[in-house]
Amino acid sequence: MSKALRVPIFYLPIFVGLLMWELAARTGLLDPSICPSLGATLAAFARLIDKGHLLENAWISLFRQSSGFFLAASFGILSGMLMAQSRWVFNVLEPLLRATFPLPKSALIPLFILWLGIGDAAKVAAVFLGCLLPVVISTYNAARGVNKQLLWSAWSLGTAKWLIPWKIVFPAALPEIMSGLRIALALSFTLMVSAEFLIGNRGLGTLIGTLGEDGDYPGMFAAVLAVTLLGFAADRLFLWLNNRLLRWRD
Amino acid sequence: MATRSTTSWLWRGFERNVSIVVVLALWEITTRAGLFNNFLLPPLSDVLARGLRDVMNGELPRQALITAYIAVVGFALAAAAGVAAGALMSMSAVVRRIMEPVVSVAFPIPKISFLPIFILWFGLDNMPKIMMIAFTCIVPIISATYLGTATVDKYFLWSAQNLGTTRHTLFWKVIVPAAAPQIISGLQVAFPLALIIAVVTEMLTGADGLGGYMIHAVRFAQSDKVFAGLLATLLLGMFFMQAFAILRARLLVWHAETASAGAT
Repeated sequence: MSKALRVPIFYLPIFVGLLMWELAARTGLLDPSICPSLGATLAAFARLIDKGHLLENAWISLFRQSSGFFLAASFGILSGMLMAQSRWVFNVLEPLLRATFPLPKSALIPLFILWLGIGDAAKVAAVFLGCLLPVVISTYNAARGVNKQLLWSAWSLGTAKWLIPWKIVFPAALPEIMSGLRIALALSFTLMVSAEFLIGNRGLGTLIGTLGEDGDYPGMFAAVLAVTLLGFAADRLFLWLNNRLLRWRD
Repeated sequence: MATRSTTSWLWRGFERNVSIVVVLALWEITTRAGLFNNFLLPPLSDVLARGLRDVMNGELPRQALITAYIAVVGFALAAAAGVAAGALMSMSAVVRRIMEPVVSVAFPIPKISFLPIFILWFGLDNMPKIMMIAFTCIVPIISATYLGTATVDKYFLWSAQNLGTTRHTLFWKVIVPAAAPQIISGLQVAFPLALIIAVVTEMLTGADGLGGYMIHAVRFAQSDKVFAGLLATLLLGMFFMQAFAILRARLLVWHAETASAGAT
């Protein structure tokens, strides 16, 4: 089977599902007042793009999500690596991680409203803190689990001690770090939307909320579709990057 | 010797928690010294006093029970349906063909964005919250169950079939127990999501539960109440994590994993 056909064939059940949605709406199985058809949703999608709201809000949301995510990724990888290298850093950070890990991170949103108000900072902070722990923990576990023979070989070949974390440990730990980052990426979209629902100041989450309050349900479905597409596209982009970065493995 | 091991045990306990104690002490000392605006960061003792008062008058326990209730019900629905769907995927090629793309699309999408649609469909009561929790938790449970049941050691299956085990018994007596560690791991990944979504949906519908408690506190500018709610949510999360760890050890008591954990 050719490569161009494989992807659409894999996703065929999704297209069948969408078709069934449209048919159910057309035949009156779905109440159009609470469940607009796929056609109406797509029409609303085009209308929202045309009026500029959708793209503008999508940019705002993406900015918040990616700032929070990249902050969490850099801080998380750095502290996870340091925890694995230094007993002292481990002794300081591990109790704090253990104590805060069980907190459902969405509970921090009210605190950020209190501290940072309703601007971008509160949302970026919510995404950042929500994504941080999975990155730290996966990096630490990955760096601790690096095959000792790799380290011994590096030592015996005379690799400078300060180079080992970055030349040996980090690349060896990268696959597991990347799977931690993928979980954090999915969480970052969840927290971004949650924060925007709660702190209504532009962004796709807010757009979904206001369209719903106006009773524009096709518009609301279209905005939900936009968030869904963004989350999905980000994940597939991440997988593509992951495969490129880890190409040396096999 | 006994006293020495006791002191070293005490020392280890101290070493393992010293940074928590330092952070809590710094919180109390700096806020009392007026280094922070006490509205933005109330002293720890004020937060604890507030929390204690709301525990005594029954508000915090009531809200915590509501949050726990919707999280557990939504999670239980997802667990039942998710384990069934994951097992079906590994047994039937047709189900696998249909479900694989659905799971791979559903995994990364921010499912919380469907909440306004769920509210539109299920009203403002507990129903949309429970459905939202179930919808979010089911995806990791399906994929963990599928991976666990699809990768059962072939020798187990061959031996059982050789001894004349029926398909039904094979599934319940061989496949499910062999996949149990992975299925339980999937459940342990999913439950924190249930709490995250429970708190968010409560904040949004703004009525009951710990999420409602905190969002009300923000609206009425009661910062000590926000922190008290945070501590209560943390305790609820700790309780469930502990409960899951105990349940895991109980359910997998026959498994090598538990035996080695007990030995150390």
